Amino acid sequence: MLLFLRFLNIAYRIIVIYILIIAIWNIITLGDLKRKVMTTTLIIPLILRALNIV
Amino acid sequence: MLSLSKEKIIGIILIIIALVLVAITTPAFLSMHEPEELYPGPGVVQKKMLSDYYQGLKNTAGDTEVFILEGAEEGGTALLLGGVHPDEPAGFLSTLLFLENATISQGKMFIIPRTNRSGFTWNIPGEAVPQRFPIETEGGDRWFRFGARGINPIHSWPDQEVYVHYPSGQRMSGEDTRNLNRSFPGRPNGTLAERIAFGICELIRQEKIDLTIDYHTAMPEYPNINVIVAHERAMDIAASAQLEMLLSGIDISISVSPKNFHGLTHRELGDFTDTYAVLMEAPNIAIGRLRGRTTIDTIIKGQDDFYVWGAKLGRLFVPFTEEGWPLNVRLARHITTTKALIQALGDVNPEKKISIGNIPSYKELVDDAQKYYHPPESATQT
Repeated sequence: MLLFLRFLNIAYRIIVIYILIIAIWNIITLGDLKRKVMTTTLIIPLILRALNIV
Repeated sequence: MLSLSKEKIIGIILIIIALVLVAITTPAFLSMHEPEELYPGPGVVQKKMLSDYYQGLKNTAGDTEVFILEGAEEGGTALLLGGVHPDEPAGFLSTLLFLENATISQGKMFIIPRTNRSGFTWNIPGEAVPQRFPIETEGGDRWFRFGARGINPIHSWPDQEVYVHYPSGQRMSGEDTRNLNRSFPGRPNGTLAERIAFGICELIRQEKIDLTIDYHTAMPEYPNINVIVAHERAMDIAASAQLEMLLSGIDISISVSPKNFHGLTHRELGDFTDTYAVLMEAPNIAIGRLRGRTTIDTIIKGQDDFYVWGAKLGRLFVPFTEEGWPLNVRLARHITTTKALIQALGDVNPEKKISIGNIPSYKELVDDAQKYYHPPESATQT
């Protein structure tokens, strides 16, 4: 069970980093300023999560 | 030469702003990992770690200090569990006052102040509770952590969608995956909560603990409050302690541990070890759903106008006036009940007597519990 939980944990981290990369790509490439700002607010907790701070 | 469009430049600026905000907020989150100071008193003869009883906890966020107080004369053994839910500070502080003041002349006492050590390292998002609160002692202020009910998600994640308790198979809310008091008796290859629970069971088995007391607090709108919950084998001891408390003018009820509600100390420690398992509850509005703004005063004074209103509407299970339920009263209830339980253990089983000294009375704690905290200056940090 411990191995399965570790697998889930790693899978979760990969998903967080994947979403973070897409969000950063969107912030750079999107033309709409409102969407850029909204996506920027979303990446703050994602960065904290990816760094294992929260 | 690299030329960037206006959109890309704005995007990079926004990402830099996000990184600055992350840098500003990070120290506040990381500071939660700094533990409060503990000053073991004259009765402490040894300090161990929970991993000394179950190696699987070594170098994990689940490992925690176990303090041992021992008398010259042989007698019974008791285990005090504080901080199983770190957002219930009266539990942690009750064990702290025993740790810093108690002397033992007969028997042995094991104290774990931060049973769920990981839970002291975070707050539940959205609860808007203080990260720490001060206690004014005679030698200056000491601060203590106000943590969260469960294990920090950075130490145990993801939660199961539906938490299935081992070994009963009972299904519970997914967030109970990280609730230590739904994880007993635990297992060596389980979640972090299950491994901590297993470590505690190992301690009880290896040290032949006679009486285990788990300190909690409950919201005033929760029916199981101001109560001793005991495993059926511990009912004689709990009933004797309740009688002692009632004769002293302290209102407390008694409840037998439900047989079909699994994972809790009072059920599983009684079923899977030989200990007499008991849990205590006292009122704590800082975790209540009716409370208003949560400040340090909410934790220490236990006062809230919405709870006074709730009491007038008959929605609470304890009386609630403008005086509230101060931390000192919660501590006094826990510590006095503990003395009564230990006395009852010796009355029921004379060979398991434990003699504790230097513990303040109920009135002394209610009037001025601050006197019994070790002052920060003159102490040696552990």
